[in-house]
Amino acid sequence: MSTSPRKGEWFSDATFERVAAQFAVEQVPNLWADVRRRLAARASARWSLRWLLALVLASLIVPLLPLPSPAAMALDKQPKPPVAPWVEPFNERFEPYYGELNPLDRALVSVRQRAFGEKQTGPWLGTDAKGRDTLARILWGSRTSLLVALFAALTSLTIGVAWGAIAGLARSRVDNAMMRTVDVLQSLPTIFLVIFLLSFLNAPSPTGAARSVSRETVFFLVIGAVSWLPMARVVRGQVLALRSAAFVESARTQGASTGWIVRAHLVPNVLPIVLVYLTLTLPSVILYEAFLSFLGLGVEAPNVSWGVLAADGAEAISPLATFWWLPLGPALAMGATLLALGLLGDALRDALDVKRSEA
Amino acid sequence: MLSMPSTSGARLALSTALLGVLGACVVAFALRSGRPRADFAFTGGGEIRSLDPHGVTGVPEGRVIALLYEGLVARNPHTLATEPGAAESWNVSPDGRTYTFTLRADARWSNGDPLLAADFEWSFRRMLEPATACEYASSLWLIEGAREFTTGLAADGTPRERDWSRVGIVAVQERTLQIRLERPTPHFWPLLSSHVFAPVHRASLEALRERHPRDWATHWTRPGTLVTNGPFRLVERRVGEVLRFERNEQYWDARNVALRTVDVLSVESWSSALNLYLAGELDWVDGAIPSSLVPELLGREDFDPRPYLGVYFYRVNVTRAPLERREVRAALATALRRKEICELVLKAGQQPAFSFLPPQAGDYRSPKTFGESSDYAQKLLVDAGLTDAEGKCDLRELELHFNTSEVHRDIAEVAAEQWRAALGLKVRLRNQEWKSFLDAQGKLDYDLSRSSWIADYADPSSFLDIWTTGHENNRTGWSNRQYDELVAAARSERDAARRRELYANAERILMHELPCIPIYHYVSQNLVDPRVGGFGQNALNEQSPKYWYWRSDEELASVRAQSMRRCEPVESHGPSAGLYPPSRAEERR
Amino acid sequence: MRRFLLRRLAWFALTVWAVITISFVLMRSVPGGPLSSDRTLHPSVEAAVNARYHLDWPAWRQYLQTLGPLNLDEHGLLGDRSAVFGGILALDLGPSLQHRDVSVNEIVAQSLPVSAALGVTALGWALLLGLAGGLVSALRPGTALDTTARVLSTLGLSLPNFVIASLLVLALAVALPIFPVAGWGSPAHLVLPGFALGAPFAAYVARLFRAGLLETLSQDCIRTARAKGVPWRAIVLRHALPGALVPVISFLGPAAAGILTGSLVIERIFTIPGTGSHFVAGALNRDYALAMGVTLVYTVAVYALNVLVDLAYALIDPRVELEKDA
Repeated sequence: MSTSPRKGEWFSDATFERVAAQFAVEQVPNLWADVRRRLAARASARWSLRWLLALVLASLIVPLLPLPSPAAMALDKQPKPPVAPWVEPFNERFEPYYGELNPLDRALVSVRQRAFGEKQTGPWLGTDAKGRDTLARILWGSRTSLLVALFAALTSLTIGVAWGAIAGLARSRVDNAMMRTVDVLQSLPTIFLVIFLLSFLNAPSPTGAARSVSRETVFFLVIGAVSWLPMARVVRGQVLALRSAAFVESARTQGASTGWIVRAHLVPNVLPIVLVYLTLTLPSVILYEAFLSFLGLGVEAPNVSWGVLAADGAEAISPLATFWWLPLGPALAMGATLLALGLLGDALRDALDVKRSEA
Repeated sequence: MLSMPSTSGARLALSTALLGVLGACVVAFALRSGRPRADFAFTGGGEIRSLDPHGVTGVPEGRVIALLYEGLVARNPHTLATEPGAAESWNVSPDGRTYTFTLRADARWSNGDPLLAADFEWSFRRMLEPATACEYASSLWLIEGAREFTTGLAADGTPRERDWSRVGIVAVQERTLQIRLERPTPHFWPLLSSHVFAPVHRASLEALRERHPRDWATHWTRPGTLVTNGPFRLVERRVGEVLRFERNEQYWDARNVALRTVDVLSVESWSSALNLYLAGELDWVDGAIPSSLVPELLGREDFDPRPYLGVYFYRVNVTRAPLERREVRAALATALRRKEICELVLKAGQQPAFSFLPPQAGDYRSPKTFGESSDYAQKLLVDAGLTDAEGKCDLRELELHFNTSEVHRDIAEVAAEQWRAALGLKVRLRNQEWKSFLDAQGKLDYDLSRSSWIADYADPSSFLDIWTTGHENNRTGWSNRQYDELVAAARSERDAARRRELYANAERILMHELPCIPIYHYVSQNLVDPRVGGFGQNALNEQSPKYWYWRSDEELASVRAQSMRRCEPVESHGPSAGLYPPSRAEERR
Repeated sequence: MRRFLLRRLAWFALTVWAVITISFVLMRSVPGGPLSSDRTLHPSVEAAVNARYHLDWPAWRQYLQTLGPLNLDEHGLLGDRSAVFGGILALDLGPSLQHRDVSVNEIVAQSLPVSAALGVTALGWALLLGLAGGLVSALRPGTALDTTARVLSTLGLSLPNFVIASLLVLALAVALPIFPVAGWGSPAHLVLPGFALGAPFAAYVARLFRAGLLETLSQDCIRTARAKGVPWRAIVLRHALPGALVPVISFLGPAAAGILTGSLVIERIFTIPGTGSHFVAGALNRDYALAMGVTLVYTVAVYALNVLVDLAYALIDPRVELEKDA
């Protein structure tokens, strides 16, 4: 059993090493059909998947929906509490100001304007202190949170998996060097790294005009940069275990090439843990975005994210006046999404746990 | 190895018990410093920078210094008039340059040493020594020879050996101090009562320097070591938590000090400060109330915002196109709708600013300057050829910098939206953490940058000097010869009316050229228990802790009856019998 | 055992050195310095402050001074040691550049016990809730009870802790004034922040414990014992629990580290004078000394916790050999 140093703060990984230990290192000929069957048999997994798919879809087509703009302000008499959809389903006060939009979104918004005109949904989830519609902000904000998650997933899947696999397959000296690098990077407090990377990469350009990278990009890069480390560790552990597994040894003695072993044994055996691990990384990354927003290091206005909304909402919780709808919306959206990811992760783990099912 | 129990279950039980005991010990150790609630507790934000009066600049620090130290003169918290401090009397020579102070015979340090003129001379010298690195040293440069003593440069800029005897600060007798100014300066009085002019105790500081040559600074300000001369003395300091003060019985006026203990809490988050106040853990919250909660507080007896001598403005980088053109700056300034920002974003009664100086700057009245009109702003840009006939704006996207804070973000969002709506101008918001923000501002690496200026004293010089060419706080690249000449002339003008006129002319130029776009004038946002008496309400939000006391039920009732303000009474957390200074307590008996 | 500790110590030294160096480079490469403030200093005064904190030295010299009490002068010759502030090798972190009259050692000495107490409370909550939840759902797998416990524990992981904390304050300190709203000084001050900080970790513990229990309960030896008529309660307590606790214990190291730094949000909301707030403040204020000191404390604490966990691990599970460190 490996007792290599387990470090980490936000993305604690020992959990996942434990999870990894539960995976049997065995040949799995017909894994994926099985997994699909088992996932489909579980109600929580079905609902989680549905919610996540709906969310991704909604965040993609949100410019098309007849929502108010998330940036258009109305300062008078705010914040307004929610109005039930059946009381005020729609109104005609749409103001087409969205701040910065990329060309595709601009096209989508113009389609929306042609389709719905001035029509927009009422304040079903209330408005914030500047009169912006909470529902619209939550849906637009989901884009940031999902993008952060996507970036983290991408770095985890590329850098993390590659780093871990190479370390696991390489000779012990290379392995050692690579893993100690991971150790050091993980010993550096992430928040420290984030503050410095943000202010360093984000220093104003001397001309003041068009900047090559936006703050959002920097933000995503920074979060991606700190989220792949535990994945590398987990993958390495799994690869190490596989290398010495009986069936791999026997394949090797029978003269199988390394490439064949990687394809036939390593990939199918590493993939499940990577997947399960991903469902654990994504929630922590989404929470990390919220944490940074709380510290005021989140995305730049007029862009919004769930973290910004949750931080503003938490600020609005006060004994003097409770604008309860401000924390409620983002908390529900975040809670539901993270819950779905968690339940899906549980289901995946159970579905992929070959040993117990065959025992 | 110790003999371990054999079964893993027993091992487990043992280690669990051990862990539990260990945890309890840690908790007990950390909590060992329980202290009873002080007579008065307040917060001005996070941990303060220093207790060395010559090493601080901020408002929260000034509050603590006011507890610990007393200068030659003080300012009355209700009228802001100069009143005796460590000096009981003084006279000013006919030419207005020489000030002679007589120290009171019963002025003492907290360790019982007499407070002498030599202490003040030595303290002022320490302040001017470059090695002390006092950030306010330059405010003393109105004293004869002081500038030369700090910089080591003669008036013509040539290096000259530093010599204390050429500086106009002399302890003529044991209790007589003489200060000679470069030129007559009307704002010397308010300056003299500020914390930079506090004395420090020479003997204890020099002894420490001897013992800890490298790190005397971290030993000096400890409770038990720090010797001070103010109404309170330091008894406990826990970084990030609390500063505890006790009444200094050696203080000459101790019989008129009501509070026996004062706590200054370090509270980073304003909503937590508010919660602590509402729970009665704090008696005064001095600072920014989250604007969403201001409407809930406005009707209350304990929240009474008053005009405050400060201005919130955007710096404009005049070295960058297109902002080097006055028309563009004027368009930006006139296109804003400040009333909307004040009433709908800030909500605490802040006043829209159309001049750099707030209306309460002493006798000074700002000249009439620009107004607000989006049509006029639009016309300025059309005339300048920057906007075409259909109203399409040709200007490049501008960047508005602000430091991380909810209220700055809110104002910036609204301002950007107003500029977009009025001028079709794209403004990108850039939220930066404090130090990066300052760095960019100092290097003129911005288009528009949020700023504020809080006056040290109620005089136009406190606001207008910073816009002279090359001033450290100009930071816009703006330079105007006529302006510089007017400010320089005003500085040495003795006739008050003529001086005001010179400053008004200077401000007119400033508001025509607009290197800064004023947004609003501040209000103080004190949240203070209604039972607290002796609390100053003035345009500088200056407080004098020695005057604070708790009103009894009868006095509170009579104060409420006399108050003109219509408000909702608030339950007080203070002692219902009140807490009066020893002198008044005897009287009442 | 000794070889294990020695090897760990060597890696420890190397890791700490790397962390110091990286932090040093990062800190000095960002815009802004410890002295920048909204009122610019006069050049002569600024030069004096710079000299006082050796900020006028070239970077390599500052680095040597930070690392240890190494005062090489401009020519690379050994200088006077009494003229420099202490270094990390001398266990003297120097004066804070922001809070000018306290040393970083003092700040750490005052704030670390506070953070530790908060951390212990949070861990206590995490273990209490996590183990109870895990036990309930593992002994009745598949039932409504199990589902409830699992959904609740996942919820703990699904909300940012500042939201949980704000709601707790509103409910249990303002609406029902049972606990103090914020502050420090009595055991009651620890309850709410401990809970808010421990909740996500409780969720982890519950999951790990449930999985571990299910795993051990399905082992052959347990089935055999059951067939032999050993009482169920004895089986769970004697045999299943220790095995199932192994993953929980291995999680305690990272959990403790996470609690140590994750506490900064909770510390701010509850105004608790712990180390967490200095983490961000040190970095944001460019207080090089404080930031370096807190980073160092953090690194050492995390490392020590991990070594402790490995030792505890070996204590409970005799199969673990410490020598086989990868």
